[in-house]
Amino acid sequence: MQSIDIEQEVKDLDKKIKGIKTKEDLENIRIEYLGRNGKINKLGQEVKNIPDQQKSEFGKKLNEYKKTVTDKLYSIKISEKKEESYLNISAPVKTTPAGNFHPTTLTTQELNKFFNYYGFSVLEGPEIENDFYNFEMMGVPKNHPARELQDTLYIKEPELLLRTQTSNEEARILEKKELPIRVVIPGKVYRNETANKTNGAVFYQYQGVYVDVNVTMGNLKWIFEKALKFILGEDTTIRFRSKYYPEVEPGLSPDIQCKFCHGNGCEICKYRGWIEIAGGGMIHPTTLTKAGIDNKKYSGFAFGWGLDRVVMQKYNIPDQRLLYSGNIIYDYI
Amino acid sequence: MKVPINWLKNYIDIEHSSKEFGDIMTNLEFMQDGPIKNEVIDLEVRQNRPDVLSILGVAREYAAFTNKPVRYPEQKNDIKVAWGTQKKIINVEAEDIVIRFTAVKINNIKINISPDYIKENLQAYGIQPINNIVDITNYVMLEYGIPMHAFDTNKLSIAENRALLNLRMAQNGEKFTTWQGTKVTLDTNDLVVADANNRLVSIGGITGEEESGISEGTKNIILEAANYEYAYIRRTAVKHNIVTESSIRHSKILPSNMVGIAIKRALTLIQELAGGEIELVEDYYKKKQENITIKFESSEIERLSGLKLEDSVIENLLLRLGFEVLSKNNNVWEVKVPSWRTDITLEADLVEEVLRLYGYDKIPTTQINTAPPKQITPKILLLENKIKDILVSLGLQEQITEPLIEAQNIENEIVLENPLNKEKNSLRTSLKQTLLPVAENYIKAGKNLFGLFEVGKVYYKNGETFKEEKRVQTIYNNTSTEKIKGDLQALLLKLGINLNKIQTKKEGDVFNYYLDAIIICALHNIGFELYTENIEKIVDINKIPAVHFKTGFVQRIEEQVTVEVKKDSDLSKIEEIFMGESDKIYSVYLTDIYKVNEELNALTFTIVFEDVNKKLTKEYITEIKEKAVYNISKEVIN
Repeated sequence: MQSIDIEQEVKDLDKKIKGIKTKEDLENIRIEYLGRNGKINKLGQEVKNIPDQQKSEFGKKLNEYKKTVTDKLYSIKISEKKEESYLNISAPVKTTPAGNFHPTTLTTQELNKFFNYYGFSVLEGPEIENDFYNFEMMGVPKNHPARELQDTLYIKEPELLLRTQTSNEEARILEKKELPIRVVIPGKVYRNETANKTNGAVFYQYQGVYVDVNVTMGNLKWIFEKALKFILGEDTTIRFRSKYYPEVEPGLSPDIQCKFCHGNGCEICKYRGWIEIAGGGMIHPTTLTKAGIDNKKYSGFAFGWGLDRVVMQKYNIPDQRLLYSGNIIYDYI
Repeated sequence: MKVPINWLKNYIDIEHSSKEFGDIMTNLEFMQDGPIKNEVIDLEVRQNRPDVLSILGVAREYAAFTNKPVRYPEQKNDIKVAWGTQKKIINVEAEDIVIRFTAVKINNIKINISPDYIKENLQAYGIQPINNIVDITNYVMLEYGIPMHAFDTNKLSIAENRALLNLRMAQNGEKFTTWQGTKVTLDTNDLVVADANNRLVSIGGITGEEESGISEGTKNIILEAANYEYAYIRRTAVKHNIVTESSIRHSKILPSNMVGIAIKRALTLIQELAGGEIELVEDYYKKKQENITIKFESSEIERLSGLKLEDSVIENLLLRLGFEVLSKNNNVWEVKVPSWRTDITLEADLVEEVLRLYGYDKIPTTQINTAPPKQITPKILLLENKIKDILVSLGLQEQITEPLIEAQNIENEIVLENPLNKEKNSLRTSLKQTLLPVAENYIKAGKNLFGLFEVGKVYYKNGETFKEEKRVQTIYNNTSTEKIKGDLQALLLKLGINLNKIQTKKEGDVFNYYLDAIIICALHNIGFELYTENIEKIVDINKIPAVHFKTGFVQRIEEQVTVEVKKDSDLSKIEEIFMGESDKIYSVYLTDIYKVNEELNALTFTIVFEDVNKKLTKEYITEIKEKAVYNISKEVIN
C-alpha cells in the first residue's frame, strides 16, 4: 500500500459510525482505528516502506486522516437511552430523592419566623465562654451548685468553659446596652451529664429576651401564650405559676395541660395533669445592674425552653440521643 | 418533699380536699409531683426554699394562703443548762465552713420504741422507725427542716483536754464507711467529724457511721444539729454520690436561728419519751444570722407585673407570709424578712412573694404594643439559613452532630479538662470528623446513594486563644466527582459568586477555591467544605439566592473539542483558557474521558457559546476553538 484513499476510508468510517448503538460499539471502532494495533498505527508502521520522495506527502495525509478520525470518534455522544417508555402511570417507580432539613433546623426556623414577626432579632452567641457571662452575670454566684465540675464542661477550669445555657448571649447583649432589646437566642449548650432519653450532653435551648421601659410579667404571659399555642396548637391550655430560676425575679413558668388526660393525671404527665414546658421571669435586677442598665427605669423578661423536647414532640422522636448522633436517616432517599 | 396530710393537720386546719391542696401548693410554687397516695402528697421544692423541706414550712405556706395561724409544737422552757462553748463536746477547726454547731450531752436515756404517731408519720413520709432517739432526730428534722444526728457517747474515744467531737477537713485519702455501708475516700475539701482519738464518726452534714450510732444498749448520747456553708456540703455529697435527707437540706441555705429552736424541740421530745438528764449544751455560733430588712416601693408590683394592687392588699399579703412592715416613708416601706426565709434579699423578691400569693393567673395578659426595635440578626445566621436552603434544593440531607469527639492528638485541638468520657474529651476541628460516622450509619441502614451536609462550627486553639469558626461540610457517597463539583458550582452561583473570578489551586488531594486570595471553599473527592465566615464577607445577603435570567431568544451553540492530555494535568487551566478566548462562552465542561494509554487521556469538552445578539458564526466558533486548542497544547499538554 503506497497511498491512502482518505475519502473512501472516511466514507467507510461514517457508515460504521451510523451503525453505533452502544458505548461498546463505539469502543470497538475506536480500537479498530486508534488502538495500538489499529488502522492508523499500522499505516504509520508502513512509512518505512514508502520511497523517500513520497514520505512527506504520506505523512501529511496520515496526520490529516488521524485528525479526522479522532474528531469524529471523540465527538460522538452515546446516551444509553432506552426505547420510548412503555410504563404507564400505574406502575411502581422509585421515589425521587429529595433534600431534607434537620428537624431541629425546621423547628428553629419556624420559631424564628414567629418571633421575627413580633420584632425579635435572632442571635446565637459563642459556645466557648468564660465564667463571667455564663454564670456570674446570670445570677449564679461562685458557690452555686450549677458551677461545679460535675455539671459544666471545662476547657480551663474555672475560667473557660462550654456554655451551659444560651443565657451567656443574653448577658452579652444586655451589656451592649443598645436598648430596647428584643432578641431570641437558639443554640447548642453543653452539660457534663450522662445522656439519657430526655437529656443529652449537648442539646439545644431556645431563649428570648426583651428589655425596655414598662416591660411586665403581663407581657411575658402574652408572648408565652402566643408562642406556645403557635408551637403546640391553638387548643393548648396554659397555666402560669411561680417558679424559681436564679437568673430571674420574679420567676414565671408556664405549664401546658396534658393532652392525653386533659388535666386529670396520667402516666405521660406523671399524674400532674400538667406538663412543664418552659421557664421564664423578669430579668434579675442584679443582672441588669451588672450590665449597667438602670433596673428602676428599665425592666425586662427572659424566657426559654429546651428546644429538643419541642422537636421530639413535633416529629415523634422518642429519644433525644437520636437527634444529634447521626441516627436520623431520612427514609425516602 | 413528701407531705403526709394527717401529720400536717397537727399544725394547721386543712379546709380543702387533697387534690385542691395540691393545686394550691402548685400555684404557690411547689408543684405537686405524682399522684396523691394514701393522703401523702409529693411537692417539688426548688433549691431556694429549704424552709419548705419541712412539714411546718408547708403549713406556713398553706396558712398564708388561707390566712389562718400555724400551731407550732410545744417547747418546754425548763432546760436549765447554760449554753456555752467550753469545748468539752465540740471543737471547731473548720471555722470557715461551720456556721453553727449545737451539741447536747444527755445521760441515762432509755431506748425504746416510739409512740404510734411518730412511727406512723415517719412511715408515711418514707422513713423507717428505729428507736425513740433516732426517730426523734428524724421527726424533728422533718418538722423544722433542720437535720439532726445523735451519737452514742460511750462509743466515742475520750482523751484528756480534748473535745469529744472535732470538726475538721478530711485528710487526702482518709477513708470512711457510712452506716449504710458505703465506703468513701475523702479529700481536703470534705468536712468531717472526728472523735477525740481522731477516728471519723461522720461526714459533716451528710451521714454518720454504724459504730457510734444509737443502738438498743445506748445510755448516753450527744445530740447535734448544725448549719454549714452549703456549697461545701453539696460538693461533697455530689462528689461521693451520697444523697441523704440531711445532705439534701444542708446543700441549701438553712437558717441558723432554726438550729436552736429545733434542738429545743428535740430535747422536749427526748425528755418526754426517753427521759435522761442533760449534762451540757454547747453552741458554736460565731456568725449570728442577721435580721434582713428590705426597702420596698409598693409601686414596683405594678411596674414589674402590670397588676395594680391597693397598698393595703399588698401589706396584708406580706404579713400573711410572715413579713413585717416596720415603717412607711414616702411610699418606701421597710420590710423585715422572717428568719426562715433565707432566699429573700431584694425588693424584686418581695414582688414575687406578693404576686405568687395573690395568684399569677390574676396578672393581666398584656400585648407588647411598642414599636419593634431595629433588626440586629447577624448576617452570618441569615447566610447559613440560605446555604441550608440551597443544599436541600440540591437534594442533600441535613445533619446536626455533637461537636464532642475523642481527641485526635492534633496540635491545635481543644481538649476538655473534665470530659464525660474518653470518647467525648475534645472538640472537633473539622465537621468531617463527626459527619463521616453519619455516612457510615446511612450505609449500615442500607442507603448507598446520598449526600449529607452539616452547617456548624469547628473549634481550635490559635496560640493562647480558643476559636470557634463556622463551616459547612458536605459528604457524598457513591457519587461522581462531576456531580459533587457540579453541586458546589450551583451553590456558589446561587450565592451570587461569579465563578469566573475564582482562582483555584490543587493542594494535596484538595482543590481549593479562592476569591481575592481568600479561601472560600475546598473540594475533595467525597464532598466539599465551605468557609462560611469568609463567604459572608463577599456576598450580598439580600441577593441570595441570586437570580440569573435572560429574556427573549438567545443563540446557543454547543461544540465539542477533544484533546489528549497527561493523566495528572491541572485541568482547571483548560476552562480558564476557553473562557479567556471569548466572552461568548457561557460554560465549559467535561463530557467524556477515554484512556488512550497509561499516560494519556483523551478528554472531550463541551463548550457552550451563547449570544443574545445572535451573531455567532461558524467561522468565529472554529477560530476560538482552534486558538484554545493551540493554547491548551502549549500550556497544559507540555
